[in-house]
Amino acid sequence: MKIKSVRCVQINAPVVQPGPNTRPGWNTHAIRSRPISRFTEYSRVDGNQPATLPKAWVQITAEDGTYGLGSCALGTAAASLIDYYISPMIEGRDPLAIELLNDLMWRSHEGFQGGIASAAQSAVDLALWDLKGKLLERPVYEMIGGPSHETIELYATGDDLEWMREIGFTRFKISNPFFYEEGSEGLAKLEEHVARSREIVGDDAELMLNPVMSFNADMALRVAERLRPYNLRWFEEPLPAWDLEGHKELKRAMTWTALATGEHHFGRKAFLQLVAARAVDIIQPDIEWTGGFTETLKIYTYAEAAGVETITHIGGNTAWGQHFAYAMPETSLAEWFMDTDIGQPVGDKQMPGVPTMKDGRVVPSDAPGFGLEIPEEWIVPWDHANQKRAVYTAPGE
Amino acid sequence: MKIKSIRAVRVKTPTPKNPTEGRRPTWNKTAKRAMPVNMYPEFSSLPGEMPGGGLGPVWVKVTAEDGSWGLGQCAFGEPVAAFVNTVIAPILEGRDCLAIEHLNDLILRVSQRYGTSGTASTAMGGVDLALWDLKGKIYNIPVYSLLGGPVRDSITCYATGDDLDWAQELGFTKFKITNPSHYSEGDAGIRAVVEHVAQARERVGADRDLMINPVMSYNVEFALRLLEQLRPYNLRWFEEPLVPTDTEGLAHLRRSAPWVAIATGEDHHGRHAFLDLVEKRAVDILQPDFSWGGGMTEAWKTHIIGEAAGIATIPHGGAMTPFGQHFAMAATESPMAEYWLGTDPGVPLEEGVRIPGTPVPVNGQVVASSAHGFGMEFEPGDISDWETN
Repeated sequence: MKIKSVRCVQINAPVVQPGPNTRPGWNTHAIRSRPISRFTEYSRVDGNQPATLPKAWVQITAEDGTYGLGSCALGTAAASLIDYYISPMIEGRDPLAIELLNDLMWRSHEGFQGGIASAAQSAVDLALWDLKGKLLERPVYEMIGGPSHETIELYATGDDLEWMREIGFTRFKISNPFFYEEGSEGLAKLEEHVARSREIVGDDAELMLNPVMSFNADMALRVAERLRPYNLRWFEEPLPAWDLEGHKELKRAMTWTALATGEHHFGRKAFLQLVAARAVDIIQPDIEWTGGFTETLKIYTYAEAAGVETITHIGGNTAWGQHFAYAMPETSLAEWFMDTDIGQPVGDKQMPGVPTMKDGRVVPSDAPGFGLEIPEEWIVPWDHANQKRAVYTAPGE
Repeated sequence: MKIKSIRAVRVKTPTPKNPTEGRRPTWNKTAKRAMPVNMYPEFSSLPGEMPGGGLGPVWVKVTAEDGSWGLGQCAFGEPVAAFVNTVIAPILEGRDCLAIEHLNDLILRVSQRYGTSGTASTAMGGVDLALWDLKGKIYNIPVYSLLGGPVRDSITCYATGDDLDWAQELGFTKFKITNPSHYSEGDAGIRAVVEHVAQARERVGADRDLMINPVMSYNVEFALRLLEQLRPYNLRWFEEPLVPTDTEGLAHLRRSAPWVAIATGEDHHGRHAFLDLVEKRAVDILQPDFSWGGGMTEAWKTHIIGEAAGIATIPHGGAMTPFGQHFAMAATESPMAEYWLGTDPGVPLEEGVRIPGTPVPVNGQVVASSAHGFGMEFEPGDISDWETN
């Protein structure tokens, strides 16, 4: 069996309305700091920050017409790499030889690894695993040697804590409004946010904080000390991915809270640096950004040998994340990102075929591949010629 | 699909009906070698006659509910068979035979108290290989496809042994020779090795890969003085000079003798031992053994660890077994495989095959069987319970 075609596509899923008796979820209005937040002309609300690119999907079709689907971030940029460079390199080859296809991809872009190239490779690799599962008529979690758990325990990311508790979550990760240049005032605002959250969830619930690279090493140390009384389960991605020394310092100093990072580390080499230096307690590769399922398995394997746990970024919502977490022993949790409104059914934005959380847990589909059931008519070719120029909304708009 | 049973078994290996008469006995019957125990002159320096050398192979058969089965090979006789039957089997039976990550994790966690290497990792090796064979058979694909291969059209083999003329005649172009000396033999031992290497280099020519394998029989000072003498002979690598516990010693050798690669691993068991070697950059080449080191799962994880750090994995005896052949077809950072040339010169390699269905190298190249699982062609009648023999 050979690969007939590799094509970048869009999935035109119908927009689901939140329905009556709902209130806008945290994700529509929460003020969240990012590295760009130094520049106050840009909104801090998710989706309005600069360089929020749409997702791209990849459809890989075998000679017999069977196809697999995968997706990645940075779609507008990744799409041309996929269609014009990766596709001609892997069409005509054995779709089951995923190690070979990955080796070809990373060697061809060895000079510009990370970011866009890793995202493009991710979507292709995910489509290959989906296709392999469909050709062999097996779920991906089984192909990689799972399950290792009966069910996946989830934690919820969001600030609507009462609602998240009501629907069954017992572990929570909250956002961070504070950019490090805001000094003591910002620090006080952050402490208030964490204190209020701790009060809502209670003393014994796991509570995590996610500053998404908004600090430097100096301020991360100040934050860690200030938040010591709130007994955080982990402190996530306080620093930019390049600051290895900062991570090392912070981990050695902050003995009362685990340090987690990884959604902006691209590929096994970046994680090798982190793990070899024992710079973090938990690594969080994003399967759609870091290079795909294969790369995430390799990252996991190195970390597992070093006694470092892997909990992927937004792994609870996606089919890939669910299959990974279900299969791998050294993965005790997965992240459920609250992308729906308060009062709206929590699975409303799930892709067809991808199970929804129930009582704080989820079990992946056992259908072949990743179990996606995306209707054919939703799949349309990527429109390279008509990509939109970004329009940025200012704060308050 | 659940596991019905896991048992240590004996397997009847084929012997040729009309064996070809060799031109002379193989090096393996005559070459003096050294192992750690040869510190004591009371022991033979021929492999089969050393203490522990008589512990025979152990095979493991994993049978699924529907009667399909897989086979894995390990070693070291009775103690390993007992570990398979009394420790591993009761933990794994009744569980999903395809959930190999889970089963591997269970065995490792249970073995922590006994020690996860040695007997435990050898027993685990047999079980794990049988699970991969079974998974390939259930999926109807070769193991190299399960692993994500093939990544190459054929495997380049190097020949291990001292019958260099015969290896050359067979078409091999890469060679690894034995080591005659134990470090306790001092300068006389060094002279013996240098002479042995010089002769081999002359025989194979200047531009061929030539390696030497002291199998743990040196210490650091002997190794360093010897390496200085061997510098003109341009060895491709220097293999397992030290006992596996001496990671610092290996790292010291590697930094002190940058003109030769350091390889080791056949007596390192499992991912953690290799992570330690890799993180200390103690060696250039990792050489896990499938049967002794925990099976395909551990070797594959070892390869991933090495690959991330830019270090190649060339397993011990890889081209001799279907396990190593499937690995080498699928592992990107594995540029060659070892063919252990232990039959008498003049005897066709096919006559030396002990696992039916295992291809042999032609002109130093071999391609793994594309049959399902590891492609072994044993019949049910070839397999019997461990206890009944």
